[in-house]
Amino acid sequence: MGWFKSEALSLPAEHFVVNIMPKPVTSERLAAAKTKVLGFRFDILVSLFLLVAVGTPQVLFLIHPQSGVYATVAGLVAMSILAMKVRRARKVAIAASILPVAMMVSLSLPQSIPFGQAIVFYDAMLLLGLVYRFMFTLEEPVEDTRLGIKGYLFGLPLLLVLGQVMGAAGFGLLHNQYPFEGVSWALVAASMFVFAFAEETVFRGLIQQRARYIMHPIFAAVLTSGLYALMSVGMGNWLSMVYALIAGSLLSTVYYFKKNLLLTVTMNVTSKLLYLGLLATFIYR
Amino acid sequence: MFFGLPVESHSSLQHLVLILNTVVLIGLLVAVELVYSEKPEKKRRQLRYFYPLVIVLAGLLFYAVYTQMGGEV
Repeated sequence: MGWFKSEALSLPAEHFVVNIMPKPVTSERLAAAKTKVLGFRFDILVSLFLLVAVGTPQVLFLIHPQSGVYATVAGLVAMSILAMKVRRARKVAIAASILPVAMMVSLSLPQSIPFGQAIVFYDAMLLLGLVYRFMFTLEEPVEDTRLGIKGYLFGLPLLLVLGQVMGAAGFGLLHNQYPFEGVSWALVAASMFVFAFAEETVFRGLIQQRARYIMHPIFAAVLTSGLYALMSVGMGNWLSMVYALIAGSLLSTVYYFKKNLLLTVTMNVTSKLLYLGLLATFIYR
Repeated sequence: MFFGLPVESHSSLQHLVLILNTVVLIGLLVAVELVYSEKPEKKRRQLRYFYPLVIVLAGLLFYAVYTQMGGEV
């Protein structure tokens, strides 16, 4: 672990902020994405592989939870093999494998209430996400975000509004699917910051950011939105999946244009808080 | 994914996950050794990307042993 001591302690503080700008995707990388493997384009093959590895357990959880567990582990094994054998896809495969590992951690630590279960899941996802964001920036030169003060002054209010629109849409679709009844509203609201930060760190900050190095950035945004939506399939409610697809697409689009996690976290948190606020005002008053 | 958690855990799933986790951890360590053992030192730089996964899976293994010794599982 000598690399950790020598490299980690010498890094400047910019490596730890949420708005690190990934280096530009070169035309050589995009050309490499179109190379054929087994008759399919490399980027399409990797995307399908990840979608199946993440989505299959979610579908099986609906039918037979124990089969879902086997599929989760099989998905983790498959993504680990992809990471070991295909160097180009290594980082995006490892980033995506955070999802089944977080699921395994959550299933290993049963909690008495769904809120506790969600806390365990998101905490595992957040910790692994932060560790990998740190590790993946060790080898590559990074630059700070190109957003200046003006960019934030324009972008943050805009995304606050977009987040509220998203939250209202979520309330419209999911006002009967609130999973944390009986838990203090203040506690749930506070945890929304953790949940949103965890989701953005892993989906946009890791998966989408790494995927754009082996596929076209638009394709990476589509892949990330698909993974984000697939994680809702297991909830057994098609409305959750529809909402997750819409929200994930919006968030991935914002990240595609701005490459700034602070903006996507703002939008995600705002949508969740507005959803909670509307529930508390109109449903659970 | 909105508060996404597809299934609540209970003891039978917990047993199953902890057993499979042990198998996966052993398999991952063997596979990493097989894949990286023939590579020269300077080409092993990306081996470290597997460390956090191994640490988490090893932690779950220790938790399984702990609960087994405590008679909870």
